[in-house]
Amino acid sequence: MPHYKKAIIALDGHSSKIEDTRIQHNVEYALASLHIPYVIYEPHTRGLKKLQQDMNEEGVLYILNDSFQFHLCDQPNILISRSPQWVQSTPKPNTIGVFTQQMVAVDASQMVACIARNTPVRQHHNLLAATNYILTNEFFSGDTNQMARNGLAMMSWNRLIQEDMHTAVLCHTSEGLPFVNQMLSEALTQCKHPDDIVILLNRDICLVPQATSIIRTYMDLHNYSAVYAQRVDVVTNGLLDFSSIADKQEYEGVDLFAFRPDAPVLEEILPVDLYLARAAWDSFWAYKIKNKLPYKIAYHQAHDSEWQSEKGNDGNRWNYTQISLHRKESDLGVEYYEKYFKGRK
Amino acid sequence: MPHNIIIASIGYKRPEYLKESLDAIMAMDNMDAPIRIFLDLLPDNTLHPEVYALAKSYSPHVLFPKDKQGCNGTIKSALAHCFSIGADAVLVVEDDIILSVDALNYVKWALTHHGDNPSVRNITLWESLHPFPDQNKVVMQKRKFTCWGWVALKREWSAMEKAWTTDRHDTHEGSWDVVMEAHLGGRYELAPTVSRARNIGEKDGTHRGAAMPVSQANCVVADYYLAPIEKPVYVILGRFGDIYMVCKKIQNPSIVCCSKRFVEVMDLFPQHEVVVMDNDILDPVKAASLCAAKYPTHEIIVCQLDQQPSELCKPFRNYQAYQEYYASL
Repeated sequence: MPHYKKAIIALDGHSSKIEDTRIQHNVEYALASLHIPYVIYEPHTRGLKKLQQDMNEEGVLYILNDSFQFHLCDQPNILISRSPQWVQSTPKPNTIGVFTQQMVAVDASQMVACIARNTPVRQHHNLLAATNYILTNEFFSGDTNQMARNGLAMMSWNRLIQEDMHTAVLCHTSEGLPFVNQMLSEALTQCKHPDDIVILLNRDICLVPQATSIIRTYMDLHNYSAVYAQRVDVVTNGLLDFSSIADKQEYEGVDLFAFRPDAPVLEEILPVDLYLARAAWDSFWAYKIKNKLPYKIAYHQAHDSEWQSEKGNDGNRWNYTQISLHRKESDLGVEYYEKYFKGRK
Repeated sequence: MPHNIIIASIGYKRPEYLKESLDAIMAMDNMDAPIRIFLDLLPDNTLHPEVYALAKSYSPHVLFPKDKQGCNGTIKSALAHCFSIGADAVLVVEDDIILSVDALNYVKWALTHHGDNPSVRNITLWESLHPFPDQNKVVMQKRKFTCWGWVALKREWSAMEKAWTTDRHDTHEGSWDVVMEAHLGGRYELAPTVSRARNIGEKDGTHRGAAMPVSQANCVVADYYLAPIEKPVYVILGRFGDIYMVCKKIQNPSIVCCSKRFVEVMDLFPQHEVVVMDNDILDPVKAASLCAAKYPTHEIIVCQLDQQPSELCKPFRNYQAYQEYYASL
């Protein structure tokens, strides 16, 4: 455990002042749970030299917003950034935690963990902006409900891109169901920067506007090269925000996978041909990746699933067979859905 | 130390200009350098007859290619030839450049004192600004390449030749001098404060039309002295964080131009001079032009634009953040 004599929480400033009281409460909760005394830094008019001095006390942990104090601080610090525009604020070598405001507003446990771990976050490769690629399989459906769901998803990505200009959508097209590993493999060839992230989604999965910033921040925080996330099912005809799905129940399947181009897990999943929209590929990938994003950023209008019908049998069988063939002895097995096996032999 | 200087005169299809240029060369004080005249062919692969006859009347050494080379190719061939026959330095004079009477003396002085200076890439004779009106004998180091009368050094030729433009269509972007400036490698040209050359080529030029004649000053050789390298000017019109991050990475004392609203951050960097811009000046290019007027001989580095040096700037990687900065100012 780190031995900080105290923590200084400085969330004030002209341009990025944090006024959401939940954020300060969760920061205080995290520090108190680790028995680290803390003070709230009070704004003053005694000049920047004084501010610089105050931001560099030995043995102190700083919890800062992305204001000027972050630049001045050369001591261990945790950065709480505005999202999504500010998520690519360059972490310093002494930054032990990065969060977006939304992440801290809903959860204190990740901050507790990062202070306890007390190691620098992933450093960016260089100062050039990286890109998030939303990868999906594009197909035409004559079904009204399907078209509406796909349309809503596309609208949600468009809203996200309006806020996070470093995001682009990659549409995969194929005759028949595509193999997810081939989709991903093609998308990875688009990456030009080591900090790029490919986010694979089903075509009808909507994202909250803060999704890419939370994915990137969480991956930087833990130095993860791959994560997965589960969706929540909603009844809506409009776009939703992070806060509006925060209290929803997660669906058991996995609908979002994010990879950096150098993720070691790619060696294990890319060789396995698995059909999209059929059983178990998502469980297999999630099992291999192991790192789940603990924030709800994806939503979806519930509907009957084709893979659970007779129509899905052949593809499901193919996927299970492939997973079995590529199973290692160390694997414990792949999760399955009870609903699917209910009443089947 | 004597230098083997060859004068390379470049001609094409403007006999009246070439005559004036050659006359000026021949009239230089202490003119003891051999001259080679390089001509390019017309589009039909023939020589301009008047130009050829004129050139032959000034020098027996008139060289021309088998096929038309264009301006870029002609100058490259001229340099390659002069260095191949033993030149240490080649004074390149295009047909619309008029050298001053003391131009060769200046070149000899520059080669003697700075011919081996590794920070000097080439010597130029042209200068437009006359930045030190009371100091005609000052020589500056400028991070530029100026082609209106210049000296190529043998030690630099190999690198220059590799970087030489391959453009055969005489576009501005592909012009040899534009390409040379893009390959400075962080080094300087030696330039006089009072021009030793002027350009008379108002008509029918290949890359540029307008001429900028300037006054000449005849100075006594060996009285020149090198001005200290001026502090660079960094134009940073971001907010506190941007100014701070750039200043933290500037190694040497410099001049920093920033908005009045954020000038307080410069309290943390007393080693730098500060130029304060009014808050209503949001455009770094406009700020840079104001700085250039105030510091005509200094290098101006604009931060937070596309051409910003990436190693210095971008405390935030996201350009949208910059846009937010400017939008909210």
